[in-house]
Amino acid sequence: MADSFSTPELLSAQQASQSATQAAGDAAANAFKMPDLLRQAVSERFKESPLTGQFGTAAQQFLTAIPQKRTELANLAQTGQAVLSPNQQQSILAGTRAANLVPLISLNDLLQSQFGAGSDLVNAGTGAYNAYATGLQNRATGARQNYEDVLAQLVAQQEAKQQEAQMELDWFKARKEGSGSGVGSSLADILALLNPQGATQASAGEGPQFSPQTGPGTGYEDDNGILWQYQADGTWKQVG
Amino acid sequence: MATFDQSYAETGRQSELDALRAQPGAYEQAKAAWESGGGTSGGQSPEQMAQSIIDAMMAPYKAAFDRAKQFEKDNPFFFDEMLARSSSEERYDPYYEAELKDFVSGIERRRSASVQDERRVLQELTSQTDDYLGRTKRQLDQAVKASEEGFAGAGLFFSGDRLRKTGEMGVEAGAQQRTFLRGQQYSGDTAQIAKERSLADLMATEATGRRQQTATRETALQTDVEQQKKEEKARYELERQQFIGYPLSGGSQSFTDMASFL
Repeated sequence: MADSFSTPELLSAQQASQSATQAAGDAAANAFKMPDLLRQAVSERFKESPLTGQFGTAAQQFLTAIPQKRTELANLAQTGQAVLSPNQQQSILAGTRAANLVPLISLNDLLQSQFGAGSDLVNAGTGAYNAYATGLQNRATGARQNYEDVLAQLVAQQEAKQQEAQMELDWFKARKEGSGSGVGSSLADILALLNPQGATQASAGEGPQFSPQTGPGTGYEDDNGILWQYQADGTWKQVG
Repeated sequence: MATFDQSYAETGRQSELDALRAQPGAYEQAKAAWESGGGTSGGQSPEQMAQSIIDAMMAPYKAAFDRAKQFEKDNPFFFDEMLARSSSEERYDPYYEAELKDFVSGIERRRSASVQDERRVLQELTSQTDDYLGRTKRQLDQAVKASEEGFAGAGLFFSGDRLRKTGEMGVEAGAQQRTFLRGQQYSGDTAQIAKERSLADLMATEATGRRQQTATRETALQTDVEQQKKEEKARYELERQQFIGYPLSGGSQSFTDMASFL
């Protein structure tokens, strides 16, 4: 019976189902570490951003501008150009600080957008991967369903063949028992009916000498009560 | 069910398929992965999947990064401090010049008044001295004459008493003159000292005023230059934000932040 289900179509469907299930399982297993992998990928891509360097330059400028201005103000007093009060000096320094703060705030806004986007990208990427994993799961389900359909079809075909063979066998048995004279009820007669040109009488221990129209899987009980099954290679195999 | 090749053709990835075919074994490996249920992405490791997903989504960010680089390359920030200072001086100096003129005028007025006051005192003292000297000389002459007449009437004109008396009267008058003149000298000196002190004070006041005004002006100029620099930087940053645009900029927050500096 096992050989009857070894059709290329069923084997292919079985293999596809197993592979798809494996792929879906792998995808589901990888889903939990995908956010970390995406975060890492985003982090690597953000290294290409010039904004961090530009912010660093602006920060450096901000930090050096104030001491530099203090030195300039001290020089003003030392050279007698102007002697500024502490409040006046603080007023100028506040202006310097404010001027150099502008690029920092601007670049900080851009960097905030960038890093805020990082979180969005990871979330979106996780969603995309989950959709991919769901797709694989659906595909695995489909492949499994396809395999089951092919299998069910084969089973149905096999059952139909068996029923047909059984009916054929029953018909011949009934005919043999009903005739009484033995004419047409012998195996040779049956064989002659099934295969008028090539039928020969089966000898004891040998399988039937005809090829049933119902194809492989067809069952047959000979005069000795031995059960035979017709094989795909055209031979009969004793099954009982 | 689509074949491996069809799956590439249907998703517009024919070039990827051609590339796979060009690499020995790659096509077979990818096909086996596809047939194993992983689709055309099935040959990738989770790490490669993550990279592929992020690569696809990072495209607009990468473009924004390129624009950020391009902006600084094409538009390096430049601020002409000399020009800004000239602009500040042009606007601020008329005020400070007027202020200084008013201040110096007041000093000059007070200086002139001090000199005039001293001169008037000295003139008065000179006049008083002249009057006093004339008066005392006349009084002395009269006293000497009266004394001589008295001695003459007594027949003692040629006596030694008359000569002594006359001499005493001259000595007394001389002593009174010296006392007077000393007082006048003191008053004159006092007026002169007062004038010199006043002039010295005015000079100090002027120096202090000039120094303070220079400091005030310098503060105003430098603060204005820094303000101009801040505004220029805000404009520059606004341009940067606009140039970089989506998806890093273009939000109202960035523009509001920058505009608040203008």
